[in-house]
Amino acid sequence: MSDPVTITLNGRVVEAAAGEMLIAVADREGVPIPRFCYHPKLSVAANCRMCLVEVSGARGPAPACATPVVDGMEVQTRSEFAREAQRATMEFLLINHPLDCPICDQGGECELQDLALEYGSDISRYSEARRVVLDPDLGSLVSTDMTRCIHCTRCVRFTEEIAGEQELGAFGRGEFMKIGTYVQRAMNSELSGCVIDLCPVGALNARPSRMNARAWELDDHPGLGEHDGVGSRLSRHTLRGRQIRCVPLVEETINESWLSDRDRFSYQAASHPDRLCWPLARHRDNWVRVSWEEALDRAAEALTKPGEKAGLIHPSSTVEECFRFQQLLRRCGARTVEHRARMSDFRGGVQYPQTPTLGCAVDRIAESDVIVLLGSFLRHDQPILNHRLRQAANSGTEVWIINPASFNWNFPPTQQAVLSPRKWLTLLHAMERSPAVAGREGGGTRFSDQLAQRLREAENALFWLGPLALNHPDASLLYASARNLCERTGTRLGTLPEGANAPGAWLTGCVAHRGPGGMAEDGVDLSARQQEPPDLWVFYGVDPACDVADPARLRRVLAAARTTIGFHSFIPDPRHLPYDLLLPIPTVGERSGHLINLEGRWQSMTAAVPPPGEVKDGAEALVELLRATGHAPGFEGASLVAHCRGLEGRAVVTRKPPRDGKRLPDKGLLRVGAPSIYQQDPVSRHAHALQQAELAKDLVLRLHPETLRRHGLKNATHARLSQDGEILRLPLVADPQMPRDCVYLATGDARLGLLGNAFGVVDLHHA
Amino acid sequence: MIRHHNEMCFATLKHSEPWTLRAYESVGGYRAWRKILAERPPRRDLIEQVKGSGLRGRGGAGFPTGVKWSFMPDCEESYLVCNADESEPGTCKDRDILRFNPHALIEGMAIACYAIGARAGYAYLREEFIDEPYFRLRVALREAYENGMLGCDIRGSGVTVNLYDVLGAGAYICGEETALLESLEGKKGFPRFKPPFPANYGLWGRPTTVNNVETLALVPGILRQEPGWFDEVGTEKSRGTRCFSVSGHVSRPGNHELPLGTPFADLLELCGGVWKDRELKAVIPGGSSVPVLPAEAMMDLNLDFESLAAAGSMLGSGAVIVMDETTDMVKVLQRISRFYFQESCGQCTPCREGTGWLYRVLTRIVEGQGTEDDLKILEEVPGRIEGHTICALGDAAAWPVQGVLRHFRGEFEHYIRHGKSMVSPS
Amino acid sequence: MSDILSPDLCGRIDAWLERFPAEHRRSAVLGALREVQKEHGHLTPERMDAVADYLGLPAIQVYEVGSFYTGFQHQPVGRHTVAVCTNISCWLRGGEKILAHIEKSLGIRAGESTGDGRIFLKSEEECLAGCCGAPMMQVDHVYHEDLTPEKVDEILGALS
Repeated sequence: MSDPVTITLNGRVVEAAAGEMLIAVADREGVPIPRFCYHPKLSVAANCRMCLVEVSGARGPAPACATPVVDGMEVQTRSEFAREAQRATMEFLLINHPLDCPICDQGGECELQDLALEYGSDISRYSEARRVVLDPDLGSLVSTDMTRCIHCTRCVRFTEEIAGEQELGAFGRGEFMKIGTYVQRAMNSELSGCVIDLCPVGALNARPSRMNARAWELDDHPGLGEHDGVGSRLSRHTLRGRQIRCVPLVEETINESWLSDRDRFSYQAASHPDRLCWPLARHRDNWVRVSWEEALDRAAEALTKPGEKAGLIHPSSTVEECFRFQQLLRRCGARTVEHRARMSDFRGGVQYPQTPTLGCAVDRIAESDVIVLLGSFLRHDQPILNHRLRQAANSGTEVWIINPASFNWNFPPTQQAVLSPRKWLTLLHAMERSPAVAGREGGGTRFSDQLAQRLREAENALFWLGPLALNHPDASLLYASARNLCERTGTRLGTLPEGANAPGAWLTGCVAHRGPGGMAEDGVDLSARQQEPPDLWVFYGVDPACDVADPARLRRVLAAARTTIGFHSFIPDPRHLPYDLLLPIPTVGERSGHLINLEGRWQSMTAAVPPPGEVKDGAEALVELLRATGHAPGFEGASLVAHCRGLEGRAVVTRKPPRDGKRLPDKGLLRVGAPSIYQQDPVSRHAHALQQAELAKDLVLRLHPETLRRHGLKNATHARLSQDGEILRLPLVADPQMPRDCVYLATGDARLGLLGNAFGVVDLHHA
Repeated sequence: MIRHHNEMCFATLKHSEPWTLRAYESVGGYRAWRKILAERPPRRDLIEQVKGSGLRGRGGAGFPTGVKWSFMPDCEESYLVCNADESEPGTCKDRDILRFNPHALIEGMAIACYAIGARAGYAYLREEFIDEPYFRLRVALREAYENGMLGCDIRGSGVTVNLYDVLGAGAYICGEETALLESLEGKKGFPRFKPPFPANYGLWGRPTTVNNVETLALVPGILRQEPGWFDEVGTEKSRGTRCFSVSGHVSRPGNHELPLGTPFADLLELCGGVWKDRELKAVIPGGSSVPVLPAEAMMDLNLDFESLAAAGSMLGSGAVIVMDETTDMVKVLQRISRFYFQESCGQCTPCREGTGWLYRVLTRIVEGQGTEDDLKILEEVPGRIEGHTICALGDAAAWPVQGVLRHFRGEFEHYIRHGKSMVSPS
Repeated sequence: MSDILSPDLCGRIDAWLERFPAEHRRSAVLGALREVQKEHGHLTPERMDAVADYLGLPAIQVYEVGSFYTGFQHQPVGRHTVAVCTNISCWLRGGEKILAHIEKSLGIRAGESTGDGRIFLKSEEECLAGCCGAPMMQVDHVYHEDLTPEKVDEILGALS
């Protein structure tokens, strides 16, 4: 930071950097200083006055959080002078605090309670009426007991500085100052739960676990975020085998001290009433419970019958599950093994690298000069990654965004092109041909020319293809063009696939054209299966109604199958129920195994709780099924992971781009959309509080006002959308930023029923 | 006997329309600024001149003005801010300067901008001044622009000074200079923690000097007087004149600009003495924030920084609040404490929680419900606020309690023992 | 939104904006809220939202400011605002008695408006820097000093 200085801390000589805040030095040296408002990730407020210490030469006690060290400074944190100042603050903090610790969820892990033990007095001499504050309703995730608030404003600063949208404020003044939203409004941030961790008292707590347990009764189990490619470190808190809540673990290189609400609250899915707790077999139009033995027998019988077989696994499945899944399917002769359920263009074949990657470590994103994001609303797709991107943008990284809609970013992108997916390939081609890339002088003024020039000029540029690009009907062409552009401009190319373990699924060979280790495989991809319907399907954690590119078409393909087997954690919607056999597998917090994040980082997790009923570890169930089908699974115990690690770096990558042309239809109103934040996977969809959250609410049609007018819907509030014979009535939102040939409709939502392709042509009518 | 009465900020008062440019020019107004525009002296020379005059800030803290100006770095973008958020109870001098001599403020701001290297200055007036004081300042600003005293490249001098008038919205705390800056930035008036000081990180993060109305209005006079005039008036450490707002139990309350060091007794006489022929009981000599002094101490005191400090109080904002023998000091304190309770911004703990506590305890005592323990709270709690807060409002809330308790403890004890006041109601 | 911010009102907000560098639109928020209150009588969340929109600020920031300063009213109030100082200098010379007199003669408490919507009596006011004319009050920001009950009656009686 700057010149080293020497200070004396409680008589001990310590080194520090000039200008560093005293509290940071003390924390590093292990010298405890009490505090409430200070947080190393937030701006300094210096308002709680708990960290007052004695500094030589200062007139009064000095707040350690706002006192920069200077050479020769002598500091006493525990002198009588310092402690008297700290006791004084504690007295003030307690006079209006309700001291309702026995009924407060924070009790036992409350910073105020802990410090009051040391600094508080046994008896309050405050005999006036205490302040009572009404509680704002912040939505389904954060509970409020604002009488307990000590006005440290950590939560306010968090929403402004980290979440990027100021949702909380401090209103009024003096003793009557209140923290809240002012008008009734639920929190809308994808990171809102972090205010629970930040709140040093019990004012803001986790609403889903309100009054569920006392902090000291809970066991904690380190775990991982199981929803996105970041792999946040977290701790699952359990009580007698039940998941009560989830909090972040500090991992500076990944999630710092933050956690997305999706990772934090998805554990509720584990206790969803629709949990699949034992094997079920179809008997006419009913389910009947069967034993695992019988279930495995039935599955083995179906799998060993001759015929075409296909398996689809969720990209959040563990490395172990992925490996065993493809092993079972391939041993039984399946030619289709896939995890990219929302993808529709498989022409890329083996042009993709062995595993997808960000192209950069999560904690080094801000080192990029320029980052391009094509086809992702990162706030929803990878919330923590978006936080890093926002920090990068705030520290000077240029962020160029190309999307089919102008999403609600929490930072201002340097440039944003809202572009119909029909024009993405044209844009990339234009960039490839732009003067800067072609090596000619003179830049153009077009977006493509400017961006290409910036990529050329930048020392450190990153190009990210998001899910909307990867699931685009011409994804393989987009990828080939982006790769060419990146190579010619010295830009690192990264992809942002869905799921918590897409790299693991790739590595183990859950890809049509690649086997374990990325070896080329003569497989049949999902799109080809529309012409060549398999006789047997196995779904593993993938809901064919919500998690696939074209639910309507898949439904028709499934109708032709002889047998459909589902490994699931939840009983699927009977309306879309082609299953003959359902095998229960664990869900979040119940799974053990490895996940590989988008940096390529292997992380392991162990189950925090046993799964309910007869739910069996997925990889184990697959091994048993391997045996039942007469195959030796091999790789017992830890040797499987060693084997999979050994697969890294062995893939052959072809550079030949696909030859046939564009598939995205040129004409007609184009539907476009990605899953919204809490619809991305079956687990989120079964997490009750997430489904009640503000962000889960909107399922709307977003169109340009001109498009609405063209369809005679100028003043309409609702419209009927029809696609492949399916008709759905939905609310309309006029958005002048939308491309005129598109309608944005988020996917993954069960409310969509069996609409067709997420990138298909649709029609609009009066509601 | 009274020399130099109303010669600086109030110099135009002898005119029938003292607020006009004509009146101001007739007392030598804008001579100093014209000279600067013509001669373009190095800005540091002006700072030295102001330093040499011994001028100390008239807002309350009494920091040497020239020294404050000298902290301003040479930079592209910096600001002058005039604190016209006059709201210290008892103080009403700035309002009269704005009403009766706005041009002195404008010239002072222009000179200060030049001296600190700023091209823009903001006068932040409390909203309650929106009628007469604000209107007079606006008219005077227009006159100054029309007569080539302000603007870009003024009279071809290459000097640019633009001045803007801005209004608050009702908050005593905005008189604290960093809260005022926050308010100017369109935020709540939450004082900033210092360091950094405004000279490094001020308005919109730029180097900024904040001066009080009277301080700035004195500057032109200092520069145009004979060298040595200002620093020969007053005492060694309290040089020049200052505006005293005399209020309370005097026969003729009023603002008087007098040399520092004027005996309180003379000022009292100028205001017609204690009203209704009553005896003097106590005086708050520098606005409601400073400790009260009993009559016997006051009658021998001169009104300057050092004499008042030696007596255990402060010159503060120059508001001299006079109280006669019938005054109930406990009720005085209760009223003052209510003010700090109302005006605490709420940002930091000791002031947010402590001001209400003090007010409630005092209210209980006044209502006859006080206990001996309450006296202990009044003795200890102010010390737990004082020096523990981000800004001086915490101190301002503590000092009056400490002052009244020090000199009039018996009145509290009487309330607690007998449930009523020991002085007959006036 | 345009119901709240008429072109004329926008013009008055712009006059505040002109005082500040273009990148500091937030600085105009006090001025803008004052203009909106002058136009509509008091502030509401919708009116503050309109200001937030116009200045390009998060609504929360405008609510914070609107709720911090005592000059802003959040309930409908009478046409004329009467503010009686009861702080120390006025208190010493009978400011509280003046307030009590007004409360009695108007039949309302401080903080309330008269039933006919004529007068809003602000909550007990802090020092208004009229200490040498104590007791004093402001009526629509115009100072009235050296008050007596008779003088007050005359001033309030003249309000329409």
